Formats: sequence, structure tokens, C-alpha cells
Amino acid sequence: MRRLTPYLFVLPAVLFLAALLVYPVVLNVLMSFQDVSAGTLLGGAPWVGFENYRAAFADEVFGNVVWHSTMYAVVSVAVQLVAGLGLALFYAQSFPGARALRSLYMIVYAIPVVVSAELFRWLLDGRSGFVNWVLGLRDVYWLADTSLAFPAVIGIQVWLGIPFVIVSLTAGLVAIPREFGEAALIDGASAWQRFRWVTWPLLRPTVLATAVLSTIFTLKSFDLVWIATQGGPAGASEILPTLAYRLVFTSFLFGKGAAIMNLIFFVLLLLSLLYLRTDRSPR
Amino acid sequence: MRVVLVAAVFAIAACGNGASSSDGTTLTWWDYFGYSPASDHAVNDLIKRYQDSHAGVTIKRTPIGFADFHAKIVQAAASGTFPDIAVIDTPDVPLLASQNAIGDLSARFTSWPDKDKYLAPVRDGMKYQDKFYGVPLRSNTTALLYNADHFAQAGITAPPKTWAELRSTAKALTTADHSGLCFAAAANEQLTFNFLPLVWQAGGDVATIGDQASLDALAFVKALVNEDKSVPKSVLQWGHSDVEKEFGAGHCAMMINGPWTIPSVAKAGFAWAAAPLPAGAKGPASPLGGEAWVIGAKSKNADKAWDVLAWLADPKNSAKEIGGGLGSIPNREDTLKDPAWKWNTAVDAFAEQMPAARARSVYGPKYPQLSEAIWTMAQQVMTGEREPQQAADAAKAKIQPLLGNGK
Repeated sequence: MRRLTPYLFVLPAVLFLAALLVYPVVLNVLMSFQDVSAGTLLGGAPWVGFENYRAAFADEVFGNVVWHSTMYAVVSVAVQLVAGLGLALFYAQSFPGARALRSLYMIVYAIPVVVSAELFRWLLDGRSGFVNWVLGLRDVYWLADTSLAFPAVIGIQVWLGIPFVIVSLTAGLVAIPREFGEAALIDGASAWQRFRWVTWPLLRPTVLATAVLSTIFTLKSFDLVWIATQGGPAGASEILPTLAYRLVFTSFLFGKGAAIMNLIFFVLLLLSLLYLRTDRSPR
Repeated sequence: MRVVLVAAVFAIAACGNGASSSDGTTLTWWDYFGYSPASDHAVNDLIKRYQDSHAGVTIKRTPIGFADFHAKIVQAAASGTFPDIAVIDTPDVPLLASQNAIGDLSARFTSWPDKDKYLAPVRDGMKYQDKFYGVPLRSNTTALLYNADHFAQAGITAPPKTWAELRSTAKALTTADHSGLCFAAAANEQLTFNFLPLVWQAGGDVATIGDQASLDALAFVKALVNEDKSVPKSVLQWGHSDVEKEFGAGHCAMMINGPWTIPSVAKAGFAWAAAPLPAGAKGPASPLGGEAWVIGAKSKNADKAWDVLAWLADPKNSAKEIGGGLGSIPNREDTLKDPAWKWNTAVDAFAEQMPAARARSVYGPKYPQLSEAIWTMAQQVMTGEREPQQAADAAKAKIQPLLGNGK
């Protein structure tokens, strides 16, 4: 009995995870091998093997959508990291108002994505949008032009993602003892040399972890694209999560949608494992 | 803490059950009319009216957000918690019927004297495979709403009646301040709702997309958006409600939209009017929209639920709520010209089109996929991404296999 006690303490957490995490994942995997309709959503659907995956991969938009999702994650995370690192280094200096300004970035983080996305829809409007007004442009339809919509959405995603990068990199910077930089300064190291040989090696694990986490957030991000463009115009900004949502909730193609969700899940799982590895900071 | 919460939840659930079994029948009712206070009140009034005259029947209404409704109703169908009565978007009738979520009402419907009073397209919109699955609740179609002040400034005296007139009028109305014409063209069903009528007006249909009529319709929107620029490209990211706002703000001289926009347009502070949609080469056509009452396939109170629907469908019990309250256009022979249904002067322009309006539910349960093929095609042309011929060929390749085993 006594040996069981610790497990009893863990039991609520295990049940919680099983109900909210394991069950939906397993259900989704099963669903991707079945021809599910609304009537058979909770069981009894016929098995169809890999037919859903075949149908999903054979879809004429699939290649494009995978490319979009990849670019969406790679480009926006890369830009976020560079900009976020620059800003984190800038605000890590002590000057009057540094902390206050840094906290302002957190406001972005606190605004629901729905609100930001809706806001950008109008900021980027071709006729009356603020962005065109500032840039002195007219009739540039950022979100309604097939060649601009996707870069525009990536831009919004970068804006949304930068605060997270600043916060986590700042935490990394603060953890680096000041003495290291001061010692290098006394040795006559330039600002670039101090960054390159002192800060960067110590910050690298944090950057890597931030990169992996940001990639995960971006790959599964759905709300921004859904609200800003709904994957349009003409599929120009469609990404895997919006495609899957559309399949499931507009077309009721549950199996095919599940197949795509599993693809996302699989990639996210690999990234999560990578994150767990980077998180074990090498000492 | 968690234990307390769980206990509280069970207690509340228990109360809920207790109340329903005390006396009489409790019917559950879901709808998505909570989107505005006026529509919300109208539905509550309808329900109250029924309850007041039918002792022993309680209707428990759950308003659900429009965005969640689809997902919610599907989950309910799967988990056996589908309400006794649900109000659904009419094009979803075949889909939910084919998935056995809603009950076949044919026996009741065919022996119901009121059924013959409905306009044919409205009645046919309730059908799936020759069986009736719903009772028409609210009906609507689209019309051309125009800013009369803009018309006067441009020296235009009458609304356009043909495609050619629509094009020239829109062009004449386009200035630095406002566009000539706006309609919802975002990547969703609303674009199909606006574009499909153009295909019909040109003499085409979903099954024959790829033919000359569909090319004509595509060439027409292409001319408006890309050549004349009288329709702003922004419409590619606008839904009906965005178009309504832009029209209200004076950024669009004309808009194609539904009667649900009338209350807000009336408050916009400029002179306006509505006209039927301009006709194409093969005459006029307009899209039929609206909601149907359906009964859950597994409802244990189907008889009682039918009584509710039949009673509420009678205009003498509900004209005020369904007309003015929910903004419905009259959908029966006996109400089409009835002044009681003319809740705004603009209603006439919509009502005039109702007898020839066309329902989307005739396209069967695969309509959502057909619709996606259509709006994608229209967007490809409006963005300039593809020529009409290429876009139509691609849409045809998607549509033909869906028609094969769809019905």
C-alpha cells in the first residue's frame, strides 16, 4: 500500500493528461484511417486504410500549402530571432526608461490574436488603410493581392512573435554574469568581440530553445491567417492548419482533415523532442 | 478546491435535469440568432408567444455564436445531444440529412396544408433526395443597395437593370472617395453566394461550370475589379458585414447585400434605396438564403417539436418577429404582398426577386466542396492570378467528380 501512495498522488495529473491530451491524439490518429461522417464521429466509421492520406497528399493545393507552412515558420522565426535579439541587446543596456519601454512590448503579447488580426486587416486595407497612408501608397491591396498577402501575413506574425523572443532572450542575457563582459572589456575586447566570444556562446542555448518554441507556435498558428485572409486570396496564404480546419468544419471531410492534423502533429512532436534536448543545457 | 468545483458542476447538472422532468415537456432549441440584440429578442419573443398559448410546453433555448455553430451542431449529432429543434442555415439541410443528424419530416410535411403556400424555391430548399427535412423560418435574397446621394452627384437617375448598365454605373460612381460597387468576396461561402447568381444570370449552373456562361460571369467580375477598378480589390478580404460597414461609411456607392443590412443602413445618415439585382444575358436570378427549422433525428419529442414549428410558421403567429425582428423577406404566396411583412420600404426590391430565387441546397450534401471550387475560381480571376478559361477549367475538374457520386 505504501508503495502505491506516490502513484496515487500522480494519478490526477495522469488522468488529466490522458483525458485532455492522449485521448484526442489517439482519436485523431484513428479518425485519419476512417471514413468519418457527422453520424459516426464517435465510432462506427468504416476503415479506409491510407485513403485519407492519399487524398490529402494528392490534393492540388497540398504542395503549395506545405511550402507556405514551411516558409511561414522559417521566415517569420528567422526574422523574429534577429529582430528580437537586437531589441533584447538594446534594452539590456541600462538607460533611463529601458525597463518601461521593454514592458511596452509585452502589450503586444497581451492583446488577443483575434484583435490584432482584425486590426491589421484594416491597417493593411488597400484604400483606407493606415499602412498605405504612412508609406504614401495607393491601391496596394496587401491582404487581397496574391503576391502580397503571404508576405503581409508573415509580417504580422513577426510582429506578434517578437515580444516572446525579447522576453526569453532577455532572461538569457540577464543570466550571463556581468563580470565576464567586464573582464573582456579590460582585456581590450571590442563591443563586437564581446558579443561574439562572450555573450553569444552563453546565450546560444537560449536562442536555440527560443527558436524551437517559436517554430512550434508558428507552425500551429491558425487564428491570425484565418481572420486576416482565411487562406485567401485564391489560396495565396493557405497554411496547413487553415486547410485542415476548412476540411473538417466546412466540408465535413473529417478523415482527410485528421490526416493533415496528424502531419502537423508529427512535425510538432519532432520539434518538441528537439526542444527537450536543447533544454538540457550543456554544462 | 477541485472537488468543490466538481461537486458544484454535478449539482447544477442535477438541477437542470430535475426542472425538466417536473411537469409537461421541455424542448431544447438551438439557434445562432444571438448575433444582435434585435434578433435575439425576436427569437425570445417567438418562444414566449408559443409558451404563453401552450401550457405544459417549455422551450429551452441555447443561442450559439455563428462561428461555432457548425462545429457545435456536428458534435451534437455525433454525441447524441442534438437538440429537439435547431435552426440551421438552409444549404446545410442536405449535409445534415445525409449524415443522419436531422429527422425526415416528409410524412408530416406533405399532410401539412401550409406547405403549398410557400414559394416553390423556398419549399424545395428543405429537400434532400425528395424528402423534406425542414420548415422554412427566415428567407432572404440579395439586392443592389445604393447610396442615392452618390447617384445624384454622378447625375444617375435610375439603378442599373442589366450587366452593361451595372458596369457603366459602377464606373461612373467610382471616385477618389468611394468605389462604385462592393460585394463580399473573401475566401468563403459568401463569395459563392454572390458569384453564383452571376453564373445563373448568364445562363449557366454549377454542373456546367467551364461553359461560356461561367466564362462570361468570370469575365464580368474581372472587368469590374481589374479593368474598371470600380470594385476595390479589398473585397477579396471582405465578408457581408465588412461590405455593410464600408457602404454605411460612404466608401461604396452600391453594394450587393442582404436585407439583414437594412437596419444599419437606415441609420447611416444618407439617402439610399434598394433595387433588384441587374439581369444578365439570360435574365434575372438571385440567391436564396435563410434558415430552416429542423428536428433532431433522435428527438424523443418529435411530435411536440413539430407542433411548435407548425404553429410558429403560421404568419399570424409570427409575422412581426420573423419579419421585422429577424429581417425576413416574405417567403409565401400569401405574405409576398402583405403590408404586414413590409417592415421597410426596401423590402419590395427583395420580395420581387423571391419567386425566382434559387436555393443552394439542390446541389446536395457535397455543396460545401462545390462552393469552395466556385469561390476559389472567382478569386483566382479577381486577383488576376488566372484567366477566366484557366480558372474555370480547374474548377470544372474539381466539380465534375463531386457531382458524379454526390446525389
